[in-house]
Amino acid sequence: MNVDQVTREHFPRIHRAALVLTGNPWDADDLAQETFLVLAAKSHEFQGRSSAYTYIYGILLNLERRNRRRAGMRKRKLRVLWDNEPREPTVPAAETAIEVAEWKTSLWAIVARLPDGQRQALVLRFSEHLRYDEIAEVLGCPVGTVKSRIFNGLTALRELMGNVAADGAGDIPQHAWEDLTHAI
Amino acid sequence: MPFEPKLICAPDWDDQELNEVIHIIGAGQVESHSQNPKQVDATADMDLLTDDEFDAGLPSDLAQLAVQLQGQAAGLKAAYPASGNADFASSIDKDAQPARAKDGEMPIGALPVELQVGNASVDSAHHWLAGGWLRRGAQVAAAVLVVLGLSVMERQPSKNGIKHLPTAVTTQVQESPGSQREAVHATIFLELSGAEQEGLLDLLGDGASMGSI
Repeated sequence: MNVDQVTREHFPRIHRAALVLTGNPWDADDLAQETFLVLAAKSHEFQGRSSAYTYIYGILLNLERRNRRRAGMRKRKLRVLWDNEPREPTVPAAETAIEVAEWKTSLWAIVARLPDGQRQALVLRFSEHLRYDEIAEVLGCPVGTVKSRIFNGLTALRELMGNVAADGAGDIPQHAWEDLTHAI
Repeated sequence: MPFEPKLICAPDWDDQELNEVIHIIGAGQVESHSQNPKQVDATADMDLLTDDEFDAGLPSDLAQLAVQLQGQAAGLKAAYPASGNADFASSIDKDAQPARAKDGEMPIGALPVELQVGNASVDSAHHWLAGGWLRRGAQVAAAVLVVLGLSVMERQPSKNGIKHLPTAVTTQVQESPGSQREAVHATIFLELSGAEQEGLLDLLGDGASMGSI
């Protein structure tokens, strides 16, 4: 695999997927670049059984899932730290606006709250326009499972939208607070 | 888990009562499936449907959501296009990266800015990398020394030679809230993973440099 050529060819699409997944261009830059650095390190393991870009999407999704997991752990640790700090009046942190407004007000911000399988399937289908068999290749599951995740993901999205509307329009959704830990 | 009938004795097919029970069980299974007919219809034989057929078979509200998702993704991509990918591609040092990953010292997320954006040469990136890791090493060493010092102070025997028992947290807070807070920070710092410690040190370093300006 010619890593340079593959990077030139597929970087924009991977960056776009990362943008939809993370909600801000800076994290998207980091994530996309990490993806291709991992590809460079593991290119010798690519055996050509799948398309190059489905292989790269797989790396991207694994890295993004790892980052979310780490962010969750960091959040729990910071909460311990926060609970031990003296209580003082605070102003909203500058990091509050870490996700760009276009993303925060979009459905993708609600998609970010879905389980990994559904979230990834929705991104690959409706942001990246992959075919269902390609999504199955990326996620390593049967095509029927992908369609099921798409259907269930859309259904869950509809329900979450109802909850968000009931909670109050304009409020920062829960995921936005969770993703603040990206900045810390 | 699928229902697997297990015969414990030969059924008496002429037994009216048994037949009635079998009928009820069968009816119950059908009923449980029919409780959510939409889902059964929408997900049945998914493997057999083409992409277009599946999309067309989505309920109208879900199809509308899908269209909205596509439109909003396109808007995001237009607003924040990927930049510098060509430079980034040329900056990937294919030979150096596996070696770094192998020695396990450098998390991939901690790449130098030059490599991330790609205007500088790989040599300058490596130079930055070496300097950065020396600096981080010194910071980690300093933090570990502080933690060790705190723990030694806490365990130091008093002048009469009697060791203090570990003090209850609430007492420590009353006596010395500052040191308690530092001890909490140090403990939490040690609980962080390597990458998290680096991030925190980076933040502290940034804060220090901003303060000195």
